[in-house]
Amino acid sequence: MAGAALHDAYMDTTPAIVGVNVTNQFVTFTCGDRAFGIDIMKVREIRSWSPITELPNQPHGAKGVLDIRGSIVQVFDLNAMIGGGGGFGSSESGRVVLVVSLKNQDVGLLVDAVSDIIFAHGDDLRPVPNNGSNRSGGTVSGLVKSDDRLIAILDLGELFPSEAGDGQGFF
Amino acid sequence: MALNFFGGAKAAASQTDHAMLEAISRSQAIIEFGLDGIVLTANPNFLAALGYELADVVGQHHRMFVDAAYATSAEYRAFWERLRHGEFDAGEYRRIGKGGKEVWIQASYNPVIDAKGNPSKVVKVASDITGQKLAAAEAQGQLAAISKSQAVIEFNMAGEVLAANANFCQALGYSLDEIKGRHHRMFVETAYAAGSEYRDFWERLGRGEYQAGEYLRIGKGGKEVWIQASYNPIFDLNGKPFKVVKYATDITGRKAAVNMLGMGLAKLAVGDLTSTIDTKFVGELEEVRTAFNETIAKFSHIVGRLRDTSGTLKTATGEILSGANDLAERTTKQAAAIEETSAAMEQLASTVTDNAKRAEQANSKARQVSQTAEETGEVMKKSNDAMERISSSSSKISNIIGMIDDIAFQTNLLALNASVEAARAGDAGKGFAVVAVEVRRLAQSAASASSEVKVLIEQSATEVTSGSRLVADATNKLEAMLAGIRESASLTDSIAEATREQSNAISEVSVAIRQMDEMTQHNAALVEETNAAIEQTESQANELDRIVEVFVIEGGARPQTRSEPARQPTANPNGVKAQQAKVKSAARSYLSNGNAAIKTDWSEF
Repeated sequence: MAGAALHDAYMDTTPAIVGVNVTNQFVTFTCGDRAFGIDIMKVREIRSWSPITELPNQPHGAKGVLDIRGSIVQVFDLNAMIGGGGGFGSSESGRVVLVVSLKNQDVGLLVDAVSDIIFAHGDDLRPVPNNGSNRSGGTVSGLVKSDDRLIAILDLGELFPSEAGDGQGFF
Repeated sequence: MALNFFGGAKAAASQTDHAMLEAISRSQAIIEFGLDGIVLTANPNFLAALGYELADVVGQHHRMFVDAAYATSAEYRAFWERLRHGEFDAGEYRRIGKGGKEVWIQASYNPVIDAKGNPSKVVKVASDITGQKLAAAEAQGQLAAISKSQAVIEFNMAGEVLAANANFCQALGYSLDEIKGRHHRMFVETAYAAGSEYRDFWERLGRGEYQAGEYLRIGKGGKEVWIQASYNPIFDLNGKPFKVVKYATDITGRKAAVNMLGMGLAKLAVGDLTSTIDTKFVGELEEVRTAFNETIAKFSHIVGRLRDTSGTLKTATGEILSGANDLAERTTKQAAAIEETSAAMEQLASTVTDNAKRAEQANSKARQVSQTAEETGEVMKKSNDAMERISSSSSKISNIIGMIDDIAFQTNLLALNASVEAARAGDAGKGFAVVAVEVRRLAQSAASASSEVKVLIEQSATEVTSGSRLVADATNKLEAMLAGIRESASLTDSIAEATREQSNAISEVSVAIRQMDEMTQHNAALVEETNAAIEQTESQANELDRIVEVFVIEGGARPQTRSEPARQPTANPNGVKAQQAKVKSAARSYLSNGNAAIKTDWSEF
């Protein structure tokens, strides 16, 4: 069901990417030995890992919930969601929860570590090559070059289509 | 005399006559007979002489006083006939007393003539001469006896032969007629007869001096006769010698025997034991001869045995000497061996003492090492403790670093969040963003520094761990070393103990060697004494040989061959003297030089 949801979100949020680049600042992080980036404006908070209360019958990638200053935030394991191989690179205690704002709610993304905040100037931001059959192109909105390295910028709308689309989400 | 008295004096002195008769009667034996021979009376002297009582004889005939044969003889009758005719009879008469006792009397039978001139009775006056008679008879018998056994010859003072008995004639081979009236010089050698000695001989006889001795006399035909003789001058009543009686015994045989004996003894005196006398000797000298021969035979036997014995003695002395030499040699060898042993024991003793010292040193060293090792062990333990403390400090540091790391992490997160907030604030947050970046950089520096420290601390922990392991290894090794040292210490203790025992044993051995040394010295002295004794014995044996050599016996080996070694005692290198000198010098050198074992002159043993 989650796969279908992602697929759906990718299909729905493609035109929204261009309008997002307001500050051109990205929070980069590692997850399953891969480096990803997220638009800084989407980030609400960066938290160190704390024990997560698990819930029954959760959707794909969901780990449980956290109490963040009185509001209940659902936490997802990004590694599980983006089909990264190699499993968990480090123990849960060293990991970081990125609280990101979707349209209607905040969700937590469990990543391995936050690396840096980078500024993308002009041509540093590149489009993702689109061959039509690559599904990953949907979840990645662009590529940022940083220190001779290309970092994939995740598209949260594609990642969480229901929340990004109608704002109704799971609630 | 009585006749005169009675005839001349008549009654005038009849009283006086009677008194005289009385006096005579007191000293003389008087008996009165009738003319028919019947006893009228007898005085007590007569009765005492013949042992009768007066009653026994009165009325008896005179014939009771003579032996029966004489009483019946014509002579006896004639005797009385003469008395009856008034003739007196005087002399020595043999009469028979009571119990047949022979009595010699010197008597006179005096017929008493009465006034008419006729004999009326016979008075006999007698004295007892039995003792004189017996003495005379004995003297004669002795003379006869001498004459029977001895040669007797009588000379007058001029030296002419008066008489000679048969023994004398037989001894010289003459008959009495041939020598009677001849001078004595016919019996002596002419030279001697012409000499003054012979004259002197007779002159002395002439002075009445008695001569006795052994004389050589010449018999008939020049035969030499030895006599033992005494020339006795016989004196007349005035004390003047009027003849010479010579009593002689023929001792020619004895003389010859004595001569032969003398020669034999002379030969014996020079050691000739072959001079037995085979000629028979006269009389008791034969016994002397046999005794002499037996003596010589016995001497010969003894000398033979003496020779054998002295030969054996010499051989034995030689054997004893060679034995003594062996003994001396052995003693000196033994002395040398003892010296060597003693020196070796001294070396051994010093070695053992050194060993003991070294063992003691090793022991003290081992103790020191042990102590050092134990101290090292202490140090190891301390260092181990220090390591552990370092470890715990490291872990504490690690914790702190973890905390720092965490703080850095949190700071980083805070800085990130600040950056996010700054970005959200748009242009207003730009300065804040810069600060946030700086803070983040600081946080990252802190994190990297803490991680470096963490690496270092981990490395240090590893190093400390390996150091601890090394220290533990070293401790183990040290323990092993300590055990080894203890073992070695106990071994050196055993060595020291063994060395002490060795030292004791060596001192006992030393005592034993000293005793042996003393014994050897005694032995050496004894050997010397023995050799001196042997020397004496040897010289005595030689002396004995020389003594025995003097004797010549029949069938005896020549003495020269027997005493050959004795002839050149100094020339023989193996002789007694040389051997003894050797022994003596050896003994002396041993006694004077305590450590003679190292002397070169011992190498010849």
